[in-house]
Amino acid sequence: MLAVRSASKSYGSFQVLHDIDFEVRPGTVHALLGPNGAGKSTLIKCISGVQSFDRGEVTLDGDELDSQTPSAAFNAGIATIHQHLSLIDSLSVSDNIFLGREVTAGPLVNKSHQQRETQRLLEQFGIPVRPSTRVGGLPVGVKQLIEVAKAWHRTQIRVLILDEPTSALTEDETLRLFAEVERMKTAGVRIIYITHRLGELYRIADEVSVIRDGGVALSGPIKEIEPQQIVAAIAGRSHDEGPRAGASTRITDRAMLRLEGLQGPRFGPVDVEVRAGEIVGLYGVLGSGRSSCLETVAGGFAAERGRVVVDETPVRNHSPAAAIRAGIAFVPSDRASQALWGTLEASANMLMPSFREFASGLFRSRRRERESFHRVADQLELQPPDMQRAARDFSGGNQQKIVLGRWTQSPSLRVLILDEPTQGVDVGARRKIYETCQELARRGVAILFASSDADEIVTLADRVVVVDDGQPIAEYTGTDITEESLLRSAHELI
Amino acid sequence: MSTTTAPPSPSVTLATSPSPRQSRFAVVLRFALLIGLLALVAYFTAASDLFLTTGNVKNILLSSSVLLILAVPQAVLVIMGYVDLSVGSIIGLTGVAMGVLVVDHGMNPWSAMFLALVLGTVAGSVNGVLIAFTRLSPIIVTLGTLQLYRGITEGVRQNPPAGFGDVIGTFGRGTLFGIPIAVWLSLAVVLIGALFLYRAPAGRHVYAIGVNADAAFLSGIATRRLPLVFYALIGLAAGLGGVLLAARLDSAPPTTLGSGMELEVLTAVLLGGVAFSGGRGTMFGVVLGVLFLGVLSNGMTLTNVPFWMQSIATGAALVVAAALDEISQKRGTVRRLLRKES
Repeated sequence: MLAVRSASKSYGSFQVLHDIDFEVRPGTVHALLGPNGAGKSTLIKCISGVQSFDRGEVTLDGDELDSQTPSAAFNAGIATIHQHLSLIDSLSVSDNIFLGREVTAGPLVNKSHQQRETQRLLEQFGIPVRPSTRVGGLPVGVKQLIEVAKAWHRTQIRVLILDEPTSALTEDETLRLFAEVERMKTAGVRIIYITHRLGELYRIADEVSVIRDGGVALSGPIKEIEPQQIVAAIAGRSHDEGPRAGASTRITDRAMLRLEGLQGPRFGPVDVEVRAGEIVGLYGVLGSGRSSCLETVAGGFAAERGRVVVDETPVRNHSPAAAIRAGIAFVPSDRASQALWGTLEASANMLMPSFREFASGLFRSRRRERESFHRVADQLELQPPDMQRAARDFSGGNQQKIVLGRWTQSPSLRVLILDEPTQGVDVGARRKIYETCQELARRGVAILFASSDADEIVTLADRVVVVDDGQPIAEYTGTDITEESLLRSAHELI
Repeated sequence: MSTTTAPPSPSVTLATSPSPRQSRFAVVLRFALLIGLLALVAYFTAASDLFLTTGNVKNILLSSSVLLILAVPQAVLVIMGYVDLSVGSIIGLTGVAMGVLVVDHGMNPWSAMFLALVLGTVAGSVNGVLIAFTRLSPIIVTLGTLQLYRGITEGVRQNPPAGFGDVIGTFGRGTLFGIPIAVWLSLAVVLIGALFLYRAPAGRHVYAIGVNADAAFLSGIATRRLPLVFYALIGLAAGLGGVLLAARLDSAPPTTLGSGMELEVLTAVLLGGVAFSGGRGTMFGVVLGVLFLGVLSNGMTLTNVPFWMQSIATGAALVVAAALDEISQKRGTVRRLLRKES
């Protein structure tokens, strides 16, 4: 039995996990669900040694696991298969299996021995490839099985963690993966299975836990739990009323943003219209194409076909600079790599695109910059309102406020695009961000945001477009937007 | 065990602590170069009566002037995450071109100097266009043009053109208010560089590109144009350097003029605390880096230290400076290391 007892974990002042209890019995599959940012991945990271719990203990068959590093956890038999696989594309299957643990004859690698061993392993796992095949050309599903085989070869697997393994698989590949999971079960392995797809649970899981807001919201054998219960647990508490109040007075008839047959990397064609004052949500699971759609609107990717029209004027020379000139602002989901200059001070992070507007003549105006920073910091309740502090020293929520504030102070803002606006953002900051969006909408800004958190969509959106495989599959308006309707249409649980 | 428990409400405390204050140790590390420079000055003053004289200080400034003129745009490029290794050859190319125009073709010296500056700007722009629009590595492109420009220079003329006349000679040895003209020019470049970096809107964009180019691109910052402009500007600066060096020598040897300058400039910039990975650096640090090299070379020559020991000292200073910088950046690293020891 793998058991986690009253474990807690904080990042800085933000507590991610509170007194989590979680166990997996040998030969069972325990599915882990929950909205993004609920603490699932933190829990997994702590079990697999990437991080450690602040309090609480992890035991495996009664022995306390004190694995400080991923390799220690791996040697104790905890293998994690991530969404992003760790195989090296340019090497052969057998070279990958033996990477770093090459069998040598004298100073040379004993290739034939490695290939024989690999052949045996591949047969055992029923993977129909030759050991000398390059990994790069293989389908994702096969790579995933090779990754499992590689872990199997290297350690006595006692716990297998699968992080959304089917998100990139075809139905055939999914079936083969499930067969492998069954085989692992009979071998007595404890399997933790993270997924967003409810349909899969009833095919593969024995137990299910829903993590929400850092706690266990629901836990038990799958046989005793109805799908509706799981949906309700993921959706969580009934949200505060009122956010959509005033929507009818806000929304105008003026089409501020129109995507006309927009097609780009892994999505489309998409036709969506957002009116001035309207807040439209794009809902879909990870990999549904919503992020690349938004980034294309913001000019980050070139559109393959179709166009973006702002206030009846098409955006030409599509690039971020052109989109900004047209009044489109973009708040990306991956703050650290796409939005923030971690080592630069807060004021530079907030005002970077506006330095030119504040300048008088050739030089920047410190006074106008300072005034603008403090006005926005006040509005967004930035904590601490310190313009000299490096952006990376703020909490996630306040970093997001800085990125949002970059655009809210601009009078020429007409369209606001947000991708996962509250990812890694604490509850207080989250409310402030929602309020700010509504305030902007009242000013006549059109807002288009994407989220994989149904609760967020229900709280914020006036209208929602459900996206799957890069295309809109359903649309709900006003009171028809409920967690149940969203989860059902996105998780293929009709 | 079909239990359903309500999730506890997360306890959120807002971070209100002040900006992390740097330890006294970190402050000392930050000014390590300044302290090192002062120590060097103190040592050479004690070791040689000739060191701290007006004439010698002028000498140090004059011999550092071309380095300083090139270090300013190089620092901006490195902060953006780029680098130019071809400046030594652009100095040679432009200096020799000016010499050939004046000596072989009898051109007016002002026109010849102007054309040398234009040629430098063009040579720099070629680097810039190749790097900004083909996404080739700046190191590969400028390493290539380092060879290429030197080759062209040597092809144009095998023996050095010499004897450029009075107008050009003034730029080599002339003074204004008792200070060499080259020193005035280098001070002007530093002033313009500092004004740009700290007061112009695009100065902050330089850091934005160096820290996170993706975020800069998505924020509408000119992530291609800005490096391109600075490759052209460093070409212009190298053209100015070529004119000044040739004027001072009154000769432009095709093989040696400016040769090795590219690494000297880069050494000064990195010594001055500019991060080679981009995103960090100050004008003040760059000036200190140039002065440090100038004082070291001048003082060691005065005290009759052989040239090979100067090389050892320069190399050691660069590595030590980089190590100290690394430590001062990683807040808490030292403390962690100490804790592990005990």
